[in-house]
Amino acid sequence: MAANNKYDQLSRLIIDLMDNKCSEKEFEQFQELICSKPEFMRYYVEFVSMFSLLDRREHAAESPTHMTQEDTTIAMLDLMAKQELEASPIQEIADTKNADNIRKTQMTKKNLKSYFFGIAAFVLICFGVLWLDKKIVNYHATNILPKLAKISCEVKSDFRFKGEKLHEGQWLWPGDYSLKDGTIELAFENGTKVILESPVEFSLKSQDKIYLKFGRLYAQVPPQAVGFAIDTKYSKVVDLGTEFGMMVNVNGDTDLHVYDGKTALFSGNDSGYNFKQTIVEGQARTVDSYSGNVSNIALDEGAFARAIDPISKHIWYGDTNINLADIVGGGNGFGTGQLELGINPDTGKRETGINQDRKVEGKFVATKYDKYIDGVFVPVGSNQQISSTGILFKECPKTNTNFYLNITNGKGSADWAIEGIETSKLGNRIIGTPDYPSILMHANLGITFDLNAIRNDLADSRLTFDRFKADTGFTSAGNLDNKGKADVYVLIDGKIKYNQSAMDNCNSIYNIDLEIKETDRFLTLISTDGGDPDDTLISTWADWCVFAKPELILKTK
Amino acid sequence: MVLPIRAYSESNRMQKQEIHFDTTIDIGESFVRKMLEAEKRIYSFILTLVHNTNDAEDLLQETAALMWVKYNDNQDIKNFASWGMKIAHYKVLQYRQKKYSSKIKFSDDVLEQIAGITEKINDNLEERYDVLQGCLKKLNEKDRKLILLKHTKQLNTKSIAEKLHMTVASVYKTIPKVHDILLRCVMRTLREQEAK
Repeated sequence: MAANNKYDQLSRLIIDLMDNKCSEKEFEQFQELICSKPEFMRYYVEFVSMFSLLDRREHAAESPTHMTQEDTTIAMLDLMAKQELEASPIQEIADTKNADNIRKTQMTKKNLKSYFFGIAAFVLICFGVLWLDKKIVNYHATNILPKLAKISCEVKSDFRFKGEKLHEGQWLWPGDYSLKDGTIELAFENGTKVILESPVEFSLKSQDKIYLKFGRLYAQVPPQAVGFAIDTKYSKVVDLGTEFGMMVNVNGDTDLHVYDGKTALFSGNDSGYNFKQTIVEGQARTVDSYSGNVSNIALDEGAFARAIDPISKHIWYGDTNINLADIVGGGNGFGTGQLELGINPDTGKRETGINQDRKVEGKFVATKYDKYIDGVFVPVGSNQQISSTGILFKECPKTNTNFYLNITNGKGSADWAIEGIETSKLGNRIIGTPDYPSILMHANLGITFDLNAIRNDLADSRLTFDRFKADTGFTSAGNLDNKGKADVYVLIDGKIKYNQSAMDNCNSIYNIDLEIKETDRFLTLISTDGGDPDDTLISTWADWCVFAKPELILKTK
Repeated sequence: MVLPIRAYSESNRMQKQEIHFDTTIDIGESFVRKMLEAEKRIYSFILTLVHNTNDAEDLLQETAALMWVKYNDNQDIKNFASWGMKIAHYKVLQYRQKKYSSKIKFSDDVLEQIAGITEKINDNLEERYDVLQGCLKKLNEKDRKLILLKHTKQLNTKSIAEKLHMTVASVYKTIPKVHDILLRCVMRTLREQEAK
């Protein structure tokens, strides 16, 4: 076969190969052919090399990388070719009568070429400089560089890469970023979550490394990502399975607060670290940028944004918990409830300011409008129903079935004014305040919270709770006659988890600290009269039970 | 559930007016600039070895990702494109291991020969690019359209045939022929330029 025929065969086979249309047999022939003569192999390489340049002309045509020389020309060629391919023949345009097309008829092919050359040249010159930065951003967007983290949540943020504003859902590549305003959460593919608060500048180095130039950063690192490291100019923190926050000042001073697990703190930089210390949960340190000295500081629970609710976009700073008193007041557990608002245990409705002796039959009343409260009741004796699902409190003591106040967010009428006598304290602290909220539960009362409903609403925010804490006892109103005697119970799914019986001393404060498991559904708070006889005067005057600072303790998942 | 918003506190937040955002060129930007310059050569190198545009695109991405990791550790690289081709070579070998059962792949010997030739040819790829533009201009209108439809528009043979009012068989025959004409033009021009 003549050499020219061989080249024809070769070019045909190369095109088929590139188009994925080559059979195994054909490939075998092809490989034999290119190995038969060095010039055939050279031809293959030259051919594919040209093919690659042609294949990638689209980028070149649209992007003026080499504006004045190469791509300007090739872009023009494309424009010409496109015009030739897409435009109707000139004479067809000339046949039409509408004004637009009449204008087109005045553009000959030559004019069109000049027109495109002119416009393109103008655009290229004007925007050439700006284009390169844009190209760099786009280059990242073509997935050439590895995706490291996604913006999983943003709150009023001005977050930029190379001047380009980035938004929720976008991926981040290695490079330098600045958060000029707001808060963002980044989700790494290895499960690490990082929250940054403006102003921040940082570099994403890899899946497990960030260089924090300055600003606030909080990281939650799952076990599979242990070793995640934050470098700063004068320190390095390596995660050993933990949650921690770092704040780097513009002068390089660095604070580290460890909320869970442990970290390794190094002071110095890549050219040499002169200090290493393991910092564990509950500890905090500061690194002085000038001396490199590391000193102890107090852990600040509320120093960093630690969770963002993706729906409401609200931010959790770690120093707030779910306040059950606020929920009693019609709130969401974070202070939106109304102080001194109560729930009538007989009707389940919200009311304020009713101080009146009442007597009921002990039925469980499901609350219709409170998704976090399953229901309320007046405990009357054994097998008291405490949930809408029919759970019974078997050990419930027999009561006189009287109640005086509603279940109240605050101090209720515990401050019923008697001049010179403070009646609204538990121990030395005034109850029903933002710092020391309270559910006043003058015996006999019961309320059940639906933990699942609360969990469900927290689900998107990566928060959950694992403990219930409160102080309990008699308020100082009990001092007025010293006749009080009452019991308090805390139940989880009908089982007694805490009980203080026969409280009769206004000076005693009892701390409740209970574990709550993921599977626990109902939390019930109960006050009973301690066996007081059915004498209205005694039971209603003195059993000033209170749950102060009743909180579900939040933590990140 | 609505979480509480914390008011921005000037006492425990850094003063915004102290902050000056850095706009100097960083490692990432210098990498991307160099990558933009070297990309054609690396892609061409990969394509000659894997003879499949989709696989070549994927391998280019994997190569760039590995280049980035290495570049982050050491920016002192004298010939970025050559370095990129070495990494691409390594990636191609990995890819071949994955496709060990495929019979449509070069033997190890052939692969190494091709790699050697490609590396040399790619030395003047930019020059070839210029020459190719000149040769494209020399094509007749129909052949130029055909090249455009195949490469820029990425159309298949049938669609090209429809656009150019040709039969599929005719397009099928013409495509290698036009590429051959273009390549001969490029080679001839390069020889002429060398002779000068």
